[in-house]
Amino acid sequence: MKRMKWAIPVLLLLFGSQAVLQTKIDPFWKKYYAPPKLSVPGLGAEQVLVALSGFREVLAGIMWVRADEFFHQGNYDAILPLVRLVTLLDSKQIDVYVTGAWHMGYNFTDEDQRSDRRYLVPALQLLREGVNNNQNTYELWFELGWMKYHKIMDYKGAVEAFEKAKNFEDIPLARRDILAHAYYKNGQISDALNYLYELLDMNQKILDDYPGNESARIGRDTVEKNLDQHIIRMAARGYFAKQRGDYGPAGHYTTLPPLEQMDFGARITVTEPGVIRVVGTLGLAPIGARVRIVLKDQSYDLHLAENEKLPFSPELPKDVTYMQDDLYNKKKRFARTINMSKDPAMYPFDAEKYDIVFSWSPRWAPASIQDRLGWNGEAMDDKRYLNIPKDDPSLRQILCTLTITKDQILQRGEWRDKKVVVETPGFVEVQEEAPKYRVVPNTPGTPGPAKST
Amino acid sequence: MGAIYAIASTTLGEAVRRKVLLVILLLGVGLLIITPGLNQLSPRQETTVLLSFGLGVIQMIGALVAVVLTISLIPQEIERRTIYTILSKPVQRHQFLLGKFLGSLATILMMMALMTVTFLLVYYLSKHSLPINLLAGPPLFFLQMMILAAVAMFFSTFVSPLVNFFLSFGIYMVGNLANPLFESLSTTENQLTRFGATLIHYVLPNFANYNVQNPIINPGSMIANTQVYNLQVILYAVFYTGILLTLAVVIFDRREV
Repeated sequence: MKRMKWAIPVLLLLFGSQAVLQTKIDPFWKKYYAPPKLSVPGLGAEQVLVALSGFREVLAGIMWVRADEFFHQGNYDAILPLVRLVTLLDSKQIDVYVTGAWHMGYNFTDEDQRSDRRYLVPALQLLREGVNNNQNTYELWFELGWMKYHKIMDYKGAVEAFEKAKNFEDIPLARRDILAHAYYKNGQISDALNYLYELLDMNQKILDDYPGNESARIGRDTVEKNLDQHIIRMAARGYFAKQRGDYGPAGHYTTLPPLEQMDFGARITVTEPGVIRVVGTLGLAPIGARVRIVLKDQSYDLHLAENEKLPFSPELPKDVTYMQDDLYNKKKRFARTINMSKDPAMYPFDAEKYDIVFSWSPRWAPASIQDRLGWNGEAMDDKRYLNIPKDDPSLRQILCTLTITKDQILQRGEWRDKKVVVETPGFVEVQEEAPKYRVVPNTPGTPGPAKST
Repeated sequence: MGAIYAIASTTLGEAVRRKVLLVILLLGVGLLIITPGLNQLSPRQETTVLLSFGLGVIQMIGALVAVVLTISLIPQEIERRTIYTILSKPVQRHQFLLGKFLGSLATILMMMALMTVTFLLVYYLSKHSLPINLLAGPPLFFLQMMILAAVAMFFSTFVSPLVNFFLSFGIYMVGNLANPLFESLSTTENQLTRFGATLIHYVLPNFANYNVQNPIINPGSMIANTQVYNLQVILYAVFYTGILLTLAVVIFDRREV
């Protein structure tokens, strides 16, 4: 024991030295070498999967291949847990963020068998997480913008995301012009035009550098065509005249009054428990408009703008019902049967009261309708359901809310065996036209011509 | 010094003839060769998968070699009774221990160097380029294995190889967790938990210091002052190895063989 007395001071010295060194090492390691932080509170991939520390990216790849198999089998539910795991293991897998969000934002909300809009929240959350973890590329900002632009029709949010995307050098030129469309849809007409001019210059420069290049020529021509189209449309709608202050007399512009009456009305009939028949009128002829219908718990809303900033969670609020659909308007009439009885997980009907919200905005409409009604619906009116949003006073839209109870929609209690009808006051149904069949000429060897009805 | 060198070179000679180590090495080299085939797992991230898997194999095989080799060095000598022959000569116990450790270190270095060369070759053939930052990982992995070998050597002075295997790998796991675990637990309100996390962070060997593969696998940020960091972790490895070897010498010196 006597011999080993030297060991104590040596050990103390070495131990103290390594502890001091560790305090110096910690901040540097944390700053440069720590695995990417994930926006999941209290959970880090490195903590859960330390044993896999060297192979996280490989394991993520293997799991993603498995997820692809589930997709081709149509087993979408199995994909989400894998998306969560893969993005935890390798937060740089951009394709996984994009495809995962696409599953939730489109496959889970558009298929005939499934239209669960609650998935829009986690879809946006996943893209947000991807953006935070991959700040060196335009891709996830672009995808976030596209989902807001195309799926949610949140044009303000789309503009914000596309503006971020355009600042990255890796964004292809052909993907830049979507920002102009988002500006336009968001009512930023002059921004749209200015940006198209900017894009035209960029494309022209490439064409000047590569005069014989066919794709450079197509790129330039496409932007030029878009720009021309925008200018013509806005001129026809009197936009430039308003800017100049010499907006002319009635008739010179396509959007001048007389106002068109929308005469919106709707009737909901509960045909079976959980099944509703919606018929209604919207005075837009002939085609091109889709009326949005949302059936939701009276106390619930998606609050996408706030919720998308929360950490990604594929778990949905199980007790909430949120149905959204588009009603195709043809010859001033829309009609559709919506069946919410088959999937109680998607439509649990736990709340006592539900709002049925109908909405239609000219900004969602095709350009041909906007030419007539104006970008902001200047030339449209509705005696009962014209709505001017507080956050955008220039917009005139249709907004109508009806209320229905749980007992009514499920035909329970006092509504058992009763016909449940909820409708807008004074609703007048437009007669549904009988379908017309094409007359098939008689040909030898086939039965006679089909009868026209 | 001559005695230490003689024991180290004998240990190296014995180690390269051990079939189990050669099998592990062959497994590592084989895995590295098939790495480009894993590209299909992630079509847009071939380089990421290649780097991740390649560096992971070097690290994993390095750890396996370090533990499997070192846990048996002392017990084997005692079991075969060859230690009597060595210690009956003018060789001090600490010289014997140090010689054995340096011999195992030379073996680990040789095997990791071989795997690194294979990996660089595979990478070059696959990508037709060789980024300089690739070379940043393996030397630090070697330092990590040096500490791991010292852990195994320390335990080998008083526990059986089987127990040592699990103990060493257990410490390796916890040591790899040290930084993130400390970061998470140091903010908790429970003082006892905070104290425990701090204790683990500063007492156990911190293997995570050498896990520098993230910026190599996912390049994108400029790292300033790597020389200072590298110097710090080299010193850390030397100090911690010193602690473990000193403890091993103290225990081995008192042990009856």
